[in-house]
Amino acid sequence: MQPESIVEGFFRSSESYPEKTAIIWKDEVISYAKVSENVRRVAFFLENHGITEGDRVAFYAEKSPLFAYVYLAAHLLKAVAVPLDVKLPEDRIQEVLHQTNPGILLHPTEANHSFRQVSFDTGLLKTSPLNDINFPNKDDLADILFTTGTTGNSKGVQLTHQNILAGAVNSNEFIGNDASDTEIIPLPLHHAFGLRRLRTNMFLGATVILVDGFMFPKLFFDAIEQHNASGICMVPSGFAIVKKLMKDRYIPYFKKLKYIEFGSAPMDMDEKRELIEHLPNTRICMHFGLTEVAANIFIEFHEAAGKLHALGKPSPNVSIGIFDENGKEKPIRETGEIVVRGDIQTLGYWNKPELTQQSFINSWFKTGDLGFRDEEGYIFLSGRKDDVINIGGKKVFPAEIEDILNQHPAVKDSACTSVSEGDKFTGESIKAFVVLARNRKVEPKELIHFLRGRLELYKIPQEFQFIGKIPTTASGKKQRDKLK
Amino acid sequence: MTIEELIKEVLLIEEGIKLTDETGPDDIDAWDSLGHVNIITGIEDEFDIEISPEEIGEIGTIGDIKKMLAKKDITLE
Repeated sequence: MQPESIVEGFFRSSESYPEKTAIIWKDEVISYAKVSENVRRVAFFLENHGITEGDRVAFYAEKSPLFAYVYLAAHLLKAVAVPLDVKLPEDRIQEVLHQTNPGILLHPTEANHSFRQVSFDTGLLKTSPLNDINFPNKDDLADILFTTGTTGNSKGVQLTHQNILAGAVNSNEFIGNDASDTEIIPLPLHHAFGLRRLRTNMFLGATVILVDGFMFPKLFFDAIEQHNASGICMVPSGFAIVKKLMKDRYIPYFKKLKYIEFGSAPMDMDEKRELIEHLPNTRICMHFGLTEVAANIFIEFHEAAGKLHALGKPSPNVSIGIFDENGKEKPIRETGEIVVRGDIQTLGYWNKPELTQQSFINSWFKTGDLGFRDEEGYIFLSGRKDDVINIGGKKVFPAEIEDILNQHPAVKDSACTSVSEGDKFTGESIKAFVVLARNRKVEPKELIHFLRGRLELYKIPQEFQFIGKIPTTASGKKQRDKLK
Repeated sequence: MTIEELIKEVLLIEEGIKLTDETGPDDIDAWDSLGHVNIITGIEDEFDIEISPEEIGEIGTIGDIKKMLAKKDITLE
């Protein structure tokens, strides 16, 4: 019988291949038996701290095996995992904690939060392993992943065990990876893409090598040489960094890979062609998706060499529609909103029924992306319905930056847009248009320092321009497009 | 310009923060993957040199950058 959850699949893998390596992290090589034992230890620890079915388990997503233990342990107790970005500013953390009211917050250090908090070091792995194992049902809530909304407030995307299982099954089916693979994960684990890759591999019984970002590409090469890594997941900006740092030295190593999964942001056409040329035997897959509907479209560069400007075709087991405003399918080559239906589809947003309702049309999830379909069924992206900016795969809503910027005493008003030619590594970059308060002056550097600590680094504008007035509609809505 | 000044400029680090030879990516939030590339590019532009992938692989701290430049006979202030 097919497992109903990632955690059930993981425990089956542990029983089938106890001695097999599950996680490699720095010098640690950890078997499935050991990971499973540690997951049960953390589960017992959480249970002793009163965590039970439906409770939220918030934890800082540091890149380490501990992440996998805590994540899977929460699921084993039928609790809900709420991973937090370690670089999230303090007020944003407070907002997430306030929204989810977790039963416990696991923190790498003792900080002064108002929620029941336990340090990662406090005996998490020193308890006995949980013996009584009951796997969650497919419709139980598994995760709440936070993203920023159009108004700048965080919204918690609710994913059931069925959602996250479908995300794994669909992408495995497209990519063709299996239990024999060893995958390098340089992506952050709180992010939907990195987390999906971790889940997918643990579900399959494959091996993951956790690497901290793209700063030291030699670690990838070592992983390929020493551990026979056969796959890697990357964002295009990560690949651009690898190329800048290693030039064409990446080729002989990446050539040995069975697959690469790219995602989360557009990629330069020249880079796509370069990969096709240099990696003839590697499946170079790129997904399009968002946290709410993971990897809903896929493309493989060799197979679709003549359609590289397309997003791809619907992922296995996923339906894609191109809708007009009334929910009617648009004819071929006519632009409409890209909508998604399938088991990957979120239940909606945590404690935000109105936003949830607005995000669906009939039973389809509205992505906010505009696109069209061609005669062969390829989906193409035309733009966004809102002003969202994509910085190296991370979505940024201008209002979030503007709200903080406007708190500076020298700033009367502001509007942020993407710079189309963008940054060579992150694709788009952010430009802030600032209206100064009366008789005030400020240097861009001071505004940057003001934003630091209040916003994640990637959300801080690279460019500032001082203007007299922000263009608005008659109803007062900012016309950011007019500033581009 | 010293290496510390260059890094402060590239990563937009506030004046008061002290950088030492032991300072590396773990000590400064802005020294992430992208910050690392910007530091490498900044050094290449400032000293009109090309840093090879092997040399880049050796860079983990400010001290490592200084050692790499010393091997290239670049004298720092």
